[in-house]
Amino acid sequence: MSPRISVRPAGAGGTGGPPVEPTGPDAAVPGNAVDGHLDAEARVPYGRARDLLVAAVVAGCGVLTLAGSRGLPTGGDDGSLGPDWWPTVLGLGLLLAAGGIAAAGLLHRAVPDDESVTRHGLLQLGGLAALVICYGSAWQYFHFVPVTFVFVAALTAVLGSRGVHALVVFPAVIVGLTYGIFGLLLRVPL
Amino acid sequence: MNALAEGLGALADPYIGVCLVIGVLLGSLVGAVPGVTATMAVALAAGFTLTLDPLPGLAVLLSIYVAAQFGDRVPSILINTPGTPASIATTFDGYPMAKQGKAGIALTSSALVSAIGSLTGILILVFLAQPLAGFALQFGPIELFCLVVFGLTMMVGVSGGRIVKGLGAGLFGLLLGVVGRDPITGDQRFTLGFDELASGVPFIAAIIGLFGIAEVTNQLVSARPGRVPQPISQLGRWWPNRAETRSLVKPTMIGCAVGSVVGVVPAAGGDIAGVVAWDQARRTSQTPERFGKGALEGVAAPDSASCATMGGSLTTTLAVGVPGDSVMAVMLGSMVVWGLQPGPALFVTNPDLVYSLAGLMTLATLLALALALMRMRGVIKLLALPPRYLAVVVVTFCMVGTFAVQNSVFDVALMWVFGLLGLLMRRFGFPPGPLVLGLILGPLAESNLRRALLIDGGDALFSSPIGMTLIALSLLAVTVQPLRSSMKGRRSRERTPTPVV
Repeated sequence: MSPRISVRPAGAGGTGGPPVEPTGPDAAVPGNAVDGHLDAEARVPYGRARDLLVAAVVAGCGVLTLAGSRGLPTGGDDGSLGPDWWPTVLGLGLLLAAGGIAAAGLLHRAVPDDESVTRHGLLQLGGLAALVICYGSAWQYFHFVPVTFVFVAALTAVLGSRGVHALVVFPAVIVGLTYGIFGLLLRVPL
Repeated sequence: MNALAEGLGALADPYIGVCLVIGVLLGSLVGAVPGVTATMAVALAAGFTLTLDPLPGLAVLLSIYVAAQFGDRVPSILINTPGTPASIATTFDGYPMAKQGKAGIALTSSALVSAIGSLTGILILVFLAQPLAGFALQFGPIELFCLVVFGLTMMVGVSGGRIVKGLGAGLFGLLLGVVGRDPITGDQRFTLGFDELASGVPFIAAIIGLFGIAEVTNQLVSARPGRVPQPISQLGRWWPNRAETRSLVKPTMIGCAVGSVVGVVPAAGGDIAGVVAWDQARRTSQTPERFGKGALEGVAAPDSASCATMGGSLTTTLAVGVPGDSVMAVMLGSMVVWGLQPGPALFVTNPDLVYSLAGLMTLATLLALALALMRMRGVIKLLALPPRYLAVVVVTFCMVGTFAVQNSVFDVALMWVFGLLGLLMRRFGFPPGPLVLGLILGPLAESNLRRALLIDGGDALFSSPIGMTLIALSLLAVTVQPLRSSMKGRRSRERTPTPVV
């Protein structure tokens, strides 16, 4: 894994920051100048089909919500609202949002905020997912310390690091820290 | 005056000082670890402190509470992962600042405004506790619903330029808030057969996934072979210059005001106050377009607000006997065990205790500030760690931290689900902020509206002056800012000369 400093505009990096063009202060973000990929890619907007696909997914969520809320108890005769009304309102809201997203997608073509996905990146993500699944399974049967040591070493290797320092010392330090904080200090049953 | 002297005099015991130092060290540590909340740390510590006398015990608990609010800013700013829910809004501008090489100034300013926020809350506790507690008691279901509606108007603000997608994300967050037992009838809704979801979507797992894991995986998927990533090497200045200090004043005041009000409202804590303050500071800023892109004001407002809630929460707890937030619920339990009964009578029977608690919080704030400023250079070295190591550290701590909340592997799996959801949202242009806002506020909105309608019927809203005021403010919030932006845009277009072709 190569978690570089994202070249995405800083606003989108935060929780709710507005996704914007990579101008202004972001031009000085370390990594932007080094990579220099986004500027070229960012000028190519996505196709409209992308936003229509997104709208379809949101609409699907809305339909599923409406279908799910039909199985919930309804309000009483006294006019009180039942467990179904809020999900119903939200389901309808999602359908409206889907319409808005589709309309916005047709009117304005979205511009990518991030560098494009690479085959190498996807392979690393796949490796991470496989390791996490193995780690989660092994944790049920073995003690936290050896399992986490192997997980950290394997993840470090998948992300491209090699050598004794990266694959032995670093995992040992991480395992020591996590076990010290969570296992000993906070008494979490790891 | 006697009560003040007695209350503060009780703190002269060196043993109290030792308890404060231990609490501050523990609080700073747990605050900085994603997944470990102040509530969890205080709950764990309460098991030990019950063997102590009330004042030393409260010194440990309160200092953990205060110091966790300083510690949780660190991962928010450095790795875009909130240490506790109270620092969600810190990521909006703190992380972009770190990416711009201004991590030092973000951390220093955050610590300073957090201290100001905390001290403001303490002043409110000392001088305004009883009248404010009376005000808080007027908040019934309909007033709380209207407060939540006001909070939901912030979805527009935290959506940035993508309002439609932001609203879609917010609706999805509200929908996730439906998962679990119905707040009135107890019927299971959308739990998909998982018992673990009966009490709702685990919030900590959701925010760690949406921020921490999504950030790591987002950078991972665009990795290119052979390209060595460069760690952040520019840490920038440590202290704000005069102009920056001036720019901190207004958002800090807004944060203190918002945090003080939100703090006294039961069940509303630092997470809500932080987001509200960030949005209010943005709305009132001369340069709202800088928010979300690394504005120092965007760090000052939420950090001062979430710290100011502490005094408000303690005020409600002591004056009304109703816990102001989840930490106070744990502390309230300890106080009852010690034979201290919070409520209006406490100010008559034990006024010295109120001053002692205010003194303890002040000392804890000053200690936490000193520790935060001293450890800056050590903490900031985290950024100099080669990014691939940093990713391993983030992934490992996120997983173990999420597990630690409820000792649940299910939560860890759910954290990954949210991580992948966050990745897809970023790749498809959906801001995650509104989703989190919906997840926080959705259950509050639904339960309070339904309770209000059950109690007062359809006239509930129109019979509440506080509710009507809040609804009017909500309408203003969604109309004034877009109109201002539109007029500003029109004026700037008019000033721009038409290019001659």
